[in-house]
Amino acid sequence: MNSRLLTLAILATAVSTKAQSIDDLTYSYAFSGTGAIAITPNATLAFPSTVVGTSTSAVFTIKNGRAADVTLNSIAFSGPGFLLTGAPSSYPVTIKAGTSLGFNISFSPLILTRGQGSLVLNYVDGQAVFALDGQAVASLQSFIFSYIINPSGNQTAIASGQTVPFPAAAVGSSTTATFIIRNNITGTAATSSLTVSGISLTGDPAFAASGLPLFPAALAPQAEIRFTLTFTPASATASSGAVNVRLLDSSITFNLQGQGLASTLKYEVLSGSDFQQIQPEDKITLPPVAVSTTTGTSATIRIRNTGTASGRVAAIAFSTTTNSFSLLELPGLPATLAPGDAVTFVIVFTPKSVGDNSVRLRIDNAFFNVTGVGLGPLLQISVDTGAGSVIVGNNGVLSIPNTIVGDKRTFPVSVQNSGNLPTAVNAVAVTGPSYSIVAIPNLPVRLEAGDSINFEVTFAPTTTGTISGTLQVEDQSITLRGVGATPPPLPGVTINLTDQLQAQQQPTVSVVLSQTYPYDLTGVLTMSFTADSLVDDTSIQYAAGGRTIAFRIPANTTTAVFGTQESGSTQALFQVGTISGKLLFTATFAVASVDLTSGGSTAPTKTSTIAAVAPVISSLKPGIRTTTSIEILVSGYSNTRELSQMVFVFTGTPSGNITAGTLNANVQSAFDGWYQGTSSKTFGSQFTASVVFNISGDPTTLQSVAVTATNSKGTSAPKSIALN
Amino acid sequence: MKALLTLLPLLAYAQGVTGPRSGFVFDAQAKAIRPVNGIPGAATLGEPLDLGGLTLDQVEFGFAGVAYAIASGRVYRISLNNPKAEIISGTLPDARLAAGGVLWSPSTRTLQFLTDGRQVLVNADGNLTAAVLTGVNCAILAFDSGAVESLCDNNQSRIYDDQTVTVTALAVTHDAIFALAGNRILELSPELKTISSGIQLVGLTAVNNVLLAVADANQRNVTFISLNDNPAPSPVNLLFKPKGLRHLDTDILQLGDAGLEPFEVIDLNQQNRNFFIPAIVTATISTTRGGQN
Repeated sequence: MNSRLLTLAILATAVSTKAQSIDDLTYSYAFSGTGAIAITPNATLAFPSTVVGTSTSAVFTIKNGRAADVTLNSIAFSGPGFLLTGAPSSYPVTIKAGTSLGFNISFSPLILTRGQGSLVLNYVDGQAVFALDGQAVASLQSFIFSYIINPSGNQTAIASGQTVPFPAAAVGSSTTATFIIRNNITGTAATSSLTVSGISLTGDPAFAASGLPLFPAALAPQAEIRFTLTFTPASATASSGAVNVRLLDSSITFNLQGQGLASTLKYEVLSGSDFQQIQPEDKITLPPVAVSTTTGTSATIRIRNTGTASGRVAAIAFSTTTNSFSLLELPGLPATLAPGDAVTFVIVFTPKSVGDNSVRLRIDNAFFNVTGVGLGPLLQISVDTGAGSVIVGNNGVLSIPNTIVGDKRTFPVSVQNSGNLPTAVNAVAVTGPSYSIVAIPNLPVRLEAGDSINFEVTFAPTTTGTISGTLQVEDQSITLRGVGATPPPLPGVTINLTDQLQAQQQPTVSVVLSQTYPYDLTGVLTMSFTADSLVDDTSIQYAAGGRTIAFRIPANTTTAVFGTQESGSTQALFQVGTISGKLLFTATFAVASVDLTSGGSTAPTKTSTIAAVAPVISSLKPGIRTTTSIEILVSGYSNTRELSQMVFVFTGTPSGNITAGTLNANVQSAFDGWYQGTSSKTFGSQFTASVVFNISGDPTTLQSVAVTATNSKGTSAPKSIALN
Repeated sequence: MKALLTLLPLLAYAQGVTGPRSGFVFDAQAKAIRPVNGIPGAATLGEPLDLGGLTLDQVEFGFAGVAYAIASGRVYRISLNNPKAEIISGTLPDARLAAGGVLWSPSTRTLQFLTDGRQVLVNADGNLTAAVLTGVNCAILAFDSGAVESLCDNNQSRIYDDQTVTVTALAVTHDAIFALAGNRILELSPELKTISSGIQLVGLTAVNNVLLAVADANQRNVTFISLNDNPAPSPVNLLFKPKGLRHLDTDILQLGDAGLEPFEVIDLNQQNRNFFIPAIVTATISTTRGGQN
């Protein structure tokens, strides 16, 4: 509004300054609600401070207290902002004696300035002058407050205490309003600027102000301050706040109101015919089902938006690995759910393992624990190799601590049905060298859920290095992996046997350690024969046959035991045969399969000699006997494998005489033929010689015969038999 | 008249010298008869006799180089020195030989007696009825009732049908028959009489008609019982526990079965010394049997 200078000129018919006649006039004025205030000419009628744009009125009264009338010719009135109303419209005006004349003087400043003027009453007989003084002041009414809801709202005035109604906003999103403070005063900046000393917000932090000027901020006439109010709800609730504008040493408050909007996704599981709500991290339990099932069990999940804003489902998936759960009938993702909308999907449980199965279901940022129990038996194998019982799964590897060859390590094995249905164990087996199973119960055995069977597996390495085996329990297979460690070296060994042996002897030989050995030893004592005559003697054998004999030396003992545990003897019987030569005994040793004698090269040995001696006649038998001949069968051996002569001495009865009672037989040729022939090789140096004698005369006079045999080493002891 | 002795030149020929043989044994594993080559102390079991591939189930050695064997239910007479098998019976299902060279069928209803005219005892079906046969070429019939009848050429049989004993071995001398019945040594002629007893007697045989040799598993020895006025030889302590006792040869007593275990012998020619005969090594058996075929 432009400032306006109100000038009122009241033309008077007389401008006489004589005022004797007006001395008796009295003047007063009264503001609304106040009593009359007397005023004398030349005094100042002071108006109270008046807010720019408003008006303060005073009733000015002229009272003619004289007996005569008074004529008022005009009223001169001046001063910006002052306004005279109710004055006579024509002059002169007679103010009868005893009466009064009143009119209104108002101060209505339009600019923020001080108004000064004058009121001149021109009487016929004089003049009365009054000064007018009024101060224009600003007030809240000097401002216009308004707002615009962005982005497409209209500017709307707002008064103190009224509310800026923000549009509902989704949680996390914002709506804004532009708040406008306008200096509604006209005038110049110099006279009519207003100051805004500050703007602040109170209430819900969902409201915020931005774009504020620096305070104090001068607001020129008709100028505006615009700033932005932002509503960003943090929850789907109503929010209230206030914006406080401080100005003119006071403040004015406008309310702020907003509604937060949000989608609220509810998760539900179909139970029977109803959906039951679940919360994130709740457990979704699917009905138990047999592991072998192909159809499984299922649960229908519903996601419902019960909020005030659209919701969005971007991901439905398992966040952990599973082969027992699957998702079916998934909605297209991402799925937008308007308030009240819902989507469903199905979790299918086809357990691949017995017992508790679980998986984490993720629906965007909501996680659920999906569980189900697979029904069936489950054989669980526990093994304790010395470091505590551990469960070894199917196709697992069980490492067994290093074990010295010869030692053994027995460890317990437990097979437990950790499933929830009974089963039967039909087969338990251990395969692989060095592994054995002991104390196994009779199979098959029925195992109720929780029941177990126990047995032991022994690892007794027979060789050094890694030795693998397999423990098989039903269809479960565990690889056994142990290491055979090198056994300690062999202590000293003595092969007890005389240095000299005799033909046809059946002596014993023994093997003794110089000190005990910590593990079971096995060995072989081997005979090898070197004949003086370069012909082997097949009769050189152990009693058990052959020229090798196995023995063992139990752990922590010193003496070799030949034969089996039950019938074993510490002496090995053998026969020397009937050929002179040297007999070499070699003892090889092993712990399990580990050779302690380097393939025999370090094996202890013992050599005994079978000395060449004179022949031995072991038996004489009469052979075919006729009236003219007699056959003598001479059996014995000559361990030099040569025999040159036999002497037969016949003895007659006392009544008879014998001619040529002593007969020397040169048998060199015959025995050479025997010993050099192949037939003799299975007999060593043994022989049976058939010697036939012709008899002339009475054969009954022959009573006995004694025989000796001679080889290069001498003559045998005589052997005799009776002949009748 | 004065006897003149001259040495024939037979010894000049190689065939005048051979290898000594101590007898024959039945190798139950090889189902064959093996010679015992060599003299005790240096003897070994020889290769099985070649009997034309005959697989023997049971062998009972007789006298004079003869053995009786059962193979596939038939009875064979085996010539040992010149190996030859001769069928002497029809098929006798499950037939078995008994001590003393007696053959009978498992039902005991029919017996075939093999004898060279000596006295023989026959038993029947475990519960034994002893019989003394004094005749020659006897045939014996045993019945389920326990009765035993003998038919001999001179009809001089004598049957002990009122005695029930369990006989596991016989010893026949010129004068008497002795039986090992349980742990008793019985003399069967002329009446049953116990002449000795022990705890675990496992074998009995006669030696030279003047001694009884008794194998005692409990004592692990062989004792001798003199049948005349001469003192009995000292007992022979054995290497192994005896399982039986039979003549391997005239002067050699066998105390166990031949085969995969060594067996022991007593050589009466060598001061009653005892020796072992080495066992057959398994590989040898396998080779030998293969060679037979």
